[in-house]
Amino acid sequence: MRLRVRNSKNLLAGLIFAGFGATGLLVGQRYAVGTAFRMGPGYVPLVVNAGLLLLGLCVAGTSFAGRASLAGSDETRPSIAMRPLVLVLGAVVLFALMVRPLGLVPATVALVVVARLGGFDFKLREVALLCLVLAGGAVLVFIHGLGLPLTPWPD
Amino acid sequence: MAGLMEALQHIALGFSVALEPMNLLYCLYGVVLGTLIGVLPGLGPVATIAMLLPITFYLPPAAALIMLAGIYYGAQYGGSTTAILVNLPGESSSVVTCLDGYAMARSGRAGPALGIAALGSFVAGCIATALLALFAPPLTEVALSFGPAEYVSLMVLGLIATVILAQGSLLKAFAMIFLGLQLGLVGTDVSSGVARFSFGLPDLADGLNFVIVGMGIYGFGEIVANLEERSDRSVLSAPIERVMPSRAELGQAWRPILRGSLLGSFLGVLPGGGATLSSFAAYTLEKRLAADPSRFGRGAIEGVAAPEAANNAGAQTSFIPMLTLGIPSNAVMALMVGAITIQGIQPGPQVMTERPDLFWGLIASMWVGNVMLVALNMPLIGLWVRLLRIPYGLLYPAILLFCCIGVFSLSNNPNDILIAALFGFIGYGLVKLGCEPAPLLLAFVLGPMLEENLRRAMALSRGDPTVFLTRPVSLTVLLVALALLLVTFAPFVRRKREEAFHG
Repeated sequence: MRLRVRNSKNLLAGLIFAGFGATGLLVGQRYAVGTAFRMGPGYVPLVVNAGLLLLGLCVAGTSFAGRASLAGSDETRPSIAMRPLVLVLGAVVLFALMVRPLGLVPATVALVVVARLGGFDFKLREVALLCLVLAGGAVLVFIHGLGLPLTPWPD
Repeated sequence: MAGLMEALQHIALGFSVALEPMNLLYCLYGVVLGTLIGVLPGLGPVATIAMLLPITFYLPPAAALIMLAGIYYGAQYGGSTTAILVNLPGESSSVVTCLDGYAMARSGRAGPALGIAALGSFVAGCIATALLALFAPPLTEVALSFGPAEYVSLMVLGLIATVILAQGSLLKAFAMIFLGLQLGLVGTDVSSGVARFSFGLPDLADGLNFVIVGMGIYGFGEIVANLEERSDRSVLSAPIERVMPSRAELGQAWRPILRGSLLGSFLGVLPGGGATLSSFAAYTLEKRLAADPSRFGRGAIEGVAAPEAANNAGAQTSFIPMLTLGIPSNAVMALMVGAITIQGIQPGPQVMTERPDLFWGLIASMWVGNVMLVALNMPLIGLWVRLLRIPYGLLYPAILLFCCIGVFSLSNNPNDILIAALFGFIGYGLVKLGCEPAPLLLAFVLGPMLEENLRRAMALSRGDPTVFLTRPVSLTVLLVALALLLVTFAPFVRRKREEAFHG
């Protein structure tokens, strides 16, 4: 009998779960397990990670099963919007990396510009105005208003 | 008689707290901010509360809780406005409101649809507040006698209930529970002081913060999901003339409002329940009871009144398990638990006895907040309509910025934003793979509580696992959990469940 992947979503999801479980088991080896009476720091992680690994393998297994009811009815491959995913999350990462060394204003501008590149329309004038309003507003509200320990510009 | 007197005294205490000028102001802020963000499509109550949570750190506990509760039911209400006017649910709990609400709006009855939603929510709010005041004290009494074994069983029941209510495959929902439990393990173990799964990073030594995880999954993940849909939003352009429903419309709607309020109040208490489940159930019930079910989906006012009443009632009674047991029943309540803990208060039955001002003040503020909602929203509908016309291209960078700064402000650490981005990626990926994030977030919050109580229960029983079966309350709760599980796996129910989510 040949194994056929009938549900690639479940296969991927199952492998991700199993991967998390296996990593947890490996990392968790260091923690003392103890007994049921006196559980060590490793007892619950062992149970949880073993369960996660097992469930992940089960989920992955359903992708070969013909029974749609167990696997869920959707058999299509996931459609992933790479552009918004990479650019929106990239904008967040940029903000995180820039906000301390360069200040809130440059970080906000980077966030807005990169995030807008991830959207479906990029109008230069609109984005410039948005940067101005948001950067100004953020400095006013969060630095002057709430007193967050940030500076508008690099020191 | 004595019980009634006591209840009245409690309510009087509650109002004396809720009507303090400071608390009134924060209640108003919460309700307005909640409605404002609730109106914007694609930002659910979890992300809204996570985003605004940092503001409440600076407030005294009562004001913080009152404001957060206001945000929650305000967001609930705002979501229905969007559902009626744009046919896009602002929150998942207003999905069913789209059906008849938008149909009413298209036939020129947007005003009465919005009006009945506001009135229905108000009536439901009053009923749910009264039920909360009546049933919370006896439940708290019971909860005070619970030991760690009972808590473990209750949390297991709660987790199983979220699995059942999650969309899609049960197996994947179970895996999400375990993934959430695993993420909850990160950080220093309370009893031994061992830093677990922190990979030597100081940012992880205290564990993952629930706001960071929630913000990543619900805030960032949802923005990415919204951007790929590119849906054109056509806001109703006709002016809204009258908001007050006519006498005939009120006559049609009052019974559904009462039924929706009671059903919602009941379902809100259940673990895994809350606003979304309540509104779906109320809609189904009204359709069943209707003399002519074919009117539903074409602008039946009952189809707006009942679910709107139910979701507001459910939103409020879902506070009961959180306030009396300290166990959150859904993702929003999980955030509330976090918010209370940050204020230095351990949620649980002792809150009512040790901080009655906080407990009753919160309950009374819910009624006050509902009055504010009705008073504000009837005249402010024009403003919300204008807000809906703001293009998403201007909104989402602003939301993103608020989310980033909100996460940063938790501990003034930019690395937290990076962790949130990572969870945005994980959350988006898992949703794409058909795994609903709600069980993960709930398990993440319950995980540490579950482990602590499990270890305590097993230590008390000297390692004997039958302790969960020999204590009657624990046994009953576990049997209920088992019954739920068996029922869900039964072929008939599974078919019904799939119908309910896809139909």
